[in-house]
Amino acid sequence: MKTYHKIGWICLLVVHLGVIISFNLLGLQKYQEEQVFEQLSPGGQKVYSTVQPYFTRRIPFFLVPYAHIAGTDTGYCLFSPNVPSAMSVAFELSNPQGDTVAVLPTLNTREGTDRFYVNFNTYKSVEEMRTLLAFSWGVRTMEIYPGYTDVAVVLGSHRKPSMKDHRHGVQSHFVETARYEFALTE
Amino acid sequence: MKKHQIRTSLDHFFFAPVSGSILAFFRVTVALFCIAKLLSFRGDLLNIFGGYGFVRTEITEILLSDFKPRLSWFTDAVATIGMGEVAGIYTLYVLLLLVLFALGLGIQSRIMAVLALFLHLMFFNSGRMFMYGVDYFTTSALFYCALFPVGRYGTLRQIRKHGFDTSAKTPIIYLRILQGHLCLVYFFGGISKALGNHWWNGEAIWRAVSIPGFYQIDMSWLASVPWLSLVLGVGVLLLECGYPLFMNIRKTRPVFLVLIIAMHAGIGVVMGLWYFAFLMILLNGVGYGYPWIIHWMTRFSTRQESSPTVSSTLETNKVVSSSH
Repeated sequence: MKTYHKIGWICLLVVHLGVIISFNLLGLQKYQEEQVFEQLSPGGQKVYSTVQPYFTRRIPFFLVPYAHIAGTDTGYCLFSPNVPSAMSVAFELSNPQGDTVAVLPTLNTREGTDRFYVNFNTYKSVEEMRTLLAFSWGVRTMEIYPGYTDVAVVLGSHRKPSMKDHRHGVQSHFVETARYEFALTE
Repeated sequence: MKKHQIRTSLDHFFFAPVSGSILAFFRVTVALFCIAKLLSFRGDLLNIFGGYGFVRTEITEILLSDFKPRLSWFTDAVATIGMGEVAGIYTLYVLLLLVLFALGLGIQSRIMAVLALFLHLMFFNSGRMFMYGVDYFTTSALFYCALFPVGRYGTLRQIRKHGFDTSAKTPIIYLRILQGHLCLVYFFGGISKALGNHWWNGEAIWRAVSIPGFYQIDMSWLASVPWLSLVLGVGVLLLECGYPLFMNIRKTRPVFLVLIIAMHAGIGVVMGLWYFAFLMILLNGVGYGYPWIIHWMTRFSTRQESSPTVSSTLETNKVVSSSH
């Protein structure tokens, strides 16, 4: 390998790793939000408050397409700082005759079903998208189950007891957090 | 003199030669992995992508920046010649499978890798709300296939002409880039977890194994052995935060590599995230387990050369039978 090739590869290495670091620091900015900050341990809050001022606030615009192509336009913060309560959705379909049926998201493959749950990331993080997403899920479910004219999209979270509570007999329970109702019109 | 020594050791660290067969291994396994992942949701293609899916195209595209490739670029273009959206999506799906197949075989590898990356991004962005960690890492793996000279080693043409040559060398810089990426992935993953409290008291493992969407096996017994959950939770923190250090120390690397592979295998078994687990094991294997993979490939190719081929065995049998 020629010297200028070597210099080129070292530069690429530095830029590439720099982009990964920047996106991760940007991702950690969300810990500033009150509801996330409260989840940090007292020590974690102290550490975070100390280092947070040094975090990246913006990524240079010309690096964003590069990061997208390289698959590094994300932070690696799955299940952090804590593992959140799991969300789920059910659809209540009804027809003019008064028949009602409740169904879960109906996909054909295990992988597809797993991937449906990823939708909740957008649902939780982008408030403006919530009604649109619920509408879209509802419409698709009505297409899969024809003959129904109304759909209620019921969202909720599974509240899992702590290990200690579980040992004392407390069971996980579903708490409805949102309900969207849509109807077919002529 | 000292300056010269530093330069030599830096040069050795970044550009020491390793067997190019590791890049061939990377190319083939990434291509096979992508094909398997694509096939895994073939029955839900229209539920995930396009105007008939659970999230309609127009809703998905609200959050997409203009520069990001998407399926509608193609489906809108072919609509002008009368091809419907469904046919357009299936055409790109089949095309991506073919391109990945060609990449695996090493046919025009660079072009195929770039094409595979572009097509993958079209699907990735158009089904954005269904995409998770494994898809980001798939993008990175395809990006590395496009960037690194993966087509110089172990291609179908080379194997047919000269057999599988494990003696060809490549600079280690490509693996260093992958290693750096992995170090940052685990370090930030570990640090962001360590700031919370679930990972320190065992609750994280307890909650993670019972998420309804990923529920595989009944792990409620874990509540009766809280110390196990605690050990696993703190173990994950140590593994992730310690990854950049211990994976780069020669003596601790084998143990850490085994533990990381065990962690991902565990995620696969307990949460059913097999594709994610496989890809992470693959990236770790290539990034840090390359000496063992190269050793295994060299042994395999040597055995292939020394063992009689089917045709030569047949010929030998023919000679033996005629002499009788």
